[in-house]
Amino acid sequence: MTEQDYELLSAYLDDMLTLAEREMLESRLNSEPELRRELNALRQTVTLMRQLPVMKAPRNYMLTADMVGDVRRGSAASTVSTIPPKRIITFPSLSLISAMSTAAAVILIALGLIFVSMNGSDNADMSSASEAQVAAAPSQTLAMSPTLEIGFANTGELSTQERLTASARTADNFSSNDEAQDLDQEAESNAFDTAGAAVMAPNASPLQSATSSASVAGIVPAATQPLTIVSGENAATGLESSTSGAGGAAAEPNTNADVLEQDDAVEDVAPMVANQTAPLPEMLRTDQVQQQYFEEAQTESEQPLTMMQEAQTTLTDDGLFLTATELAQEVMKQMTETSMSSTQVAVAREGQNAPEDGVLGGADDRDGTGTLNDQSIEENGGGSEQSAAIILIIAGILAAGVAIITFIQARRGSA
Amino acid sequence: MAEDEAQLIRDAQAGDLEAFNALVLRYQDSVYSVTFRIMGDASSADDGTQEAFINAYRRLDTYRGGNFRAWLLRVATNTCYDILRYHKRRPATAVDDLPGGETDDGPPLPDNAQTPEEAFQQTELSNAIQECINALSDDQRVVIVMSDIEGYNYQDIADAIETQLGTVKSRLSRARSNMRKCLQAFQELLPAEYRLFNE
Repeated sequence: MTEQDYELLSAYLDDMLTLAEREMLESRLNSEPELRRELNALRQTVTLMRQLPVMKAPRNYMLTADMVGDVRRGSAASTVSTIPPKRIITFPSLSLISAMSTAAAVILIALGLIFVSMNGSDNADMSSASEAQVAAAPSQTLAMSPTLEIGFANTGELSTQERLTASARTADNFSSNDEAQDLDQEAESNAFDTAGAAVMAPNASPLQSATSSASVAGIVPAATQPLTIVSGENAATGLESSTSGAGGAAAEPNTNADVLEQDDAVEDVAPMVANQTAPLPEMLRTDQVQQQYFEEAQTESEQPLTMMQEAQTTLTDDGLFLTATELAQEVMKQMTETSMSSTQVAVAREGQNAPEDGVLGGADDRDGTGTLNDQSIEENGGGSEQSAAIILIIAGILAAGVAIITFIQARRGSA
Repeated sequence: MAEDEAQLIRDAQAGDLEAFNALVLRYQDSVYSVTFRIMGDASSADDGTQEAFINAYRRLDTYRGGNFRAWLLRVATNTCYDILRYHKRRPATAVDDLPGGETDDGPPLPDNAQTPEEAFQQTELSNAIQECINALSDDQRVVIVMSDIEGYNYQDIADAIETQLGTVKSRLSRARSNMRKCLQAFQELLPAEYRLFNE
């Protein structure tokens, strides 16, 4: 049996042969029993196939409006559409992203605003506290108070705003209140733009400090001769050196803060320093005085002080005006946050500007009553918090943008 | 009946979905049976049947009269043939969908009244025949189903699957030959009058 024989037999069953083909095949069937058996077998096969029962549908296949709509819209769809199409699940995923972005935006912006409000309250608290302390100071002393202002920066580049300047004015330089008032008025006319910490010591000599990329505050004792504060070359050196007065203040911020916050300690030490009558050396390293303060404070109090406490100013009975806590904080920030573009601490009185070049700061006695009526203590050292707040707000705005975009995409996807 | 069907067809062609669904209920067993024979398993037959009715609704404008059942089965056969060709290009048959798999519940029982023994024998025979049909190639399966189950002539088959008449003839010949050889293995299931394969 050949393939052609099977084809002839199959076509013979369906009566699809020509008359000539049929006659030829029928003659062969009469003479070839094998061909005849095959014909019978094929006929039985076809009969079995045709006797297969009609099957019952397992369910109804009525069309719905949605199915008809799909058909009408997809007129070009092929019959192979039974293959499940790739499902694009952009809508749920975009909705999730939008929701998460919205939540992130709210949280970030809220945190940023909280930071901003905290900074604002800190500044307000500092200002009010300083004002109260200054108001209690004897006017005469304040009028004659020398001012030491020390600024520092962490960029390593020196500028007029980043220089450490210190000044002290002795009572000798001010023979009368009028003279002092003149000086105050002069200082009032100048803008104070240098961050730093002010240390005012009555009866102190004018102080000058060497500029430094990162300077530290010194405590100026009472003196009758000009003093010069020599600060460290840099913040790290100054901070780590316990022998450097300002550096010591920053090197052990907790201890120094304790020193500066402990009124008792300051009050005990201040008279000792302020009431000095003996001439001081031409160049007095304030770290010596600072060291005395630290030692006194360590013996007086062992209470810990957190670094994040707000800046404090301490005003002694003799008019010693100390503001260094925030300085210590900022120095620590400078050590740990090298990326900070600008960290400055300015604690000063409004309109202070020493007559001497490079000397900034001083007491302000506008009304001539000897009372500091305006305490403009500006803390630029909160830049870290402000920067964080700005970053948070920007991130929140970006998240809000993502939320809006994804929301729009989700709406389009759902449509 | 004929006038009723003609009216339903006209209404369906005019967009009356209710009318078309009436036709669906009337012929869904036949369509499912054909799709099952071609597709080889219940799951594929279910999908193929639904798709066949969708295609039929879409192509109602191509119906020019005549035997609506034949036209509908032809659409169903074409649908199955397209599906088979699609899967042939992308073979991804699940194991459970293969004959004998867990989801293959086999051919449903015939709807005609039978004794349990007859029904069992008929089911066994139907399963054997279906197994042999499934063993054929897609081309041979479609041709033999259209010819020996649906009763189409060669030309109709050629038109349906868009091939030459001679091709249909040769495919059908090979399909019947293979079916004959396959059914020899199920001699015990065949009725006595059909046990002549080995003679």
